[in-house]
Amino acid sequence: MGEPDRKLSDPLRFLLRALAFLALMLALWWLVLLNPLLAGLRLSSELTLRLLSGGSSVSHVTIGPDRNWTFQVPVPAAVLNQERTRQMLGAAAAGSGPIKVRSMKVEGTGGYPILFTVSLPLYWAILLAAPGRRRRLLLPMLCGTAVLAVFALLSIAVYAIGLVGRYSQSTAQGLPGFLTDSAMYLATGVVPYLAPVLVALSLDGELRGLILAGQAAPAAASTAAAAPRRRRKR
Amino acid sequence: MARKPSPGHTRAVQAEEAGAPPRQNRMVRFLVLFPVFLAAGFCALLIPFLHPAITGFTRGLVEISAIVIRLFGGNAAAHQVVLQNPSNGFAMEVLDGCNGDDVAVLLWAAILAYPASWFEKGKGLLAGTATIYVINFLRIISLFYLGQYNHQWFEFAHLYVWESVFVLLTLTIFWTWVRRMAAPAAPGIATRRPL
Repeated sequence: MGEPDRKLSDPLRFLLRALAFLALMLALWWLVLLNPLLAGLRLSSELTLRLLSGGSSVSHVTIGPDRNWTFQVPVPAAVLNQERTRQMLGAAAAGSGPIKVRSMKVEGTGGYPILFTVSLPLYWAILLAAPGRRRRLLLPMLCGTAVLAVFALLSIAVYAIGLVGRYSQSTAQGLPGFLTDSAMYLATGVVPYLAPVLVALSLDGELRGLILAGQAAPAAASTAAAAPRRRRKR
Repeated sequence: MARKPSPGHTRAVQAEEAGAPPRQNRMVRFLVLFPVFLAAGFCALLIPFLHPAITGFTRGLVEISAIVIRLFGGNAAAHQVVLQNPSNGFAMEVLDGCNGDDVAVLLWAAILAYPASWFEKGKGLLAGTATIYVINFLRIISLFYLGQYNHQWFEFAHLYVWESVFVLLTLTIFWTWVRRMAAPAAPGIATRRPL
């Protein structure tokens, strides 16, 4: 097989390897890692919500037995000021003095938080399938996992904001509605799948060189790299 | 002794001599343009006045899927963007994100941002987009049958397996396109100045 032919087969070889690793990583993720990942995501999203709400102790995130997520968050001022909310509180407070509302609970399907973590097995599969000698794989693996965990956290935040907006009908239409829908679309349909590729290309210079610069195949590259070392020894 | 340059080598050298920016600069330009094109593509998908066109495309995809399933002896009917099996009542709705547009945007952004001639870009866009939509068509049919067999497997394949496969596929298509362009010039040019 000639040089160009061999080089053209590199992407195909990568795809086959990546598919095999993807199957393995998805199995590992689904059967072993998913529950610890969701627990970590729940804890970190609760801490984030508390930070965002100025250290408020009313913020809680819980996962139910049906895997649905419940977000307890301070009631946004926009919701409290709504006519509908005032009427509701006024009716409830009739004869019993004013009612102070501190927080509200919204529940969302557990499917989305799971989706936010699927970027991890995809990222691991890409790194493991990348051609060449993967000596320094651990660092990009750890860094990328950390970056994707942050993406998952941000996606959870977008999801929670979208849920609160939808429940309170404060972002149902107009520009806020469009922005919330767009953010939800990106968080649920784009980021979990696109982020692993971008993070892999950003952190793994060897893979980036192979794909973007059309560099020589790793076998040839390693042979070429070995030659000067031999000459230096002499 | 001077070596006779290959045609690909000559082409690359001519480009450099003609005042084209160095490879590193072109790659920096790619890294800047790619997110811009990507954001523009996703914005285009989200703009409300484009929704009818996207929905029309999805409807066509569902219609063709139903026709092909029937051609091969299956039982399927298309109702707008819903693909249904009339015999057992199973129905699945093909949403905007499920019609392959997302990954097509990803591929288009990468190819358009990459430093290459417009002819090469055109070839890559045509072949790559066609590949994506053919595979997506197979995906829809496979999910249609999987959904009738097991709903949990359908969800898993739909949300986690196929989407991930599509991203890998898009990356591979792009890489293949870059390799095809770089193949003749690669031994001399590409390894000299890595990114």
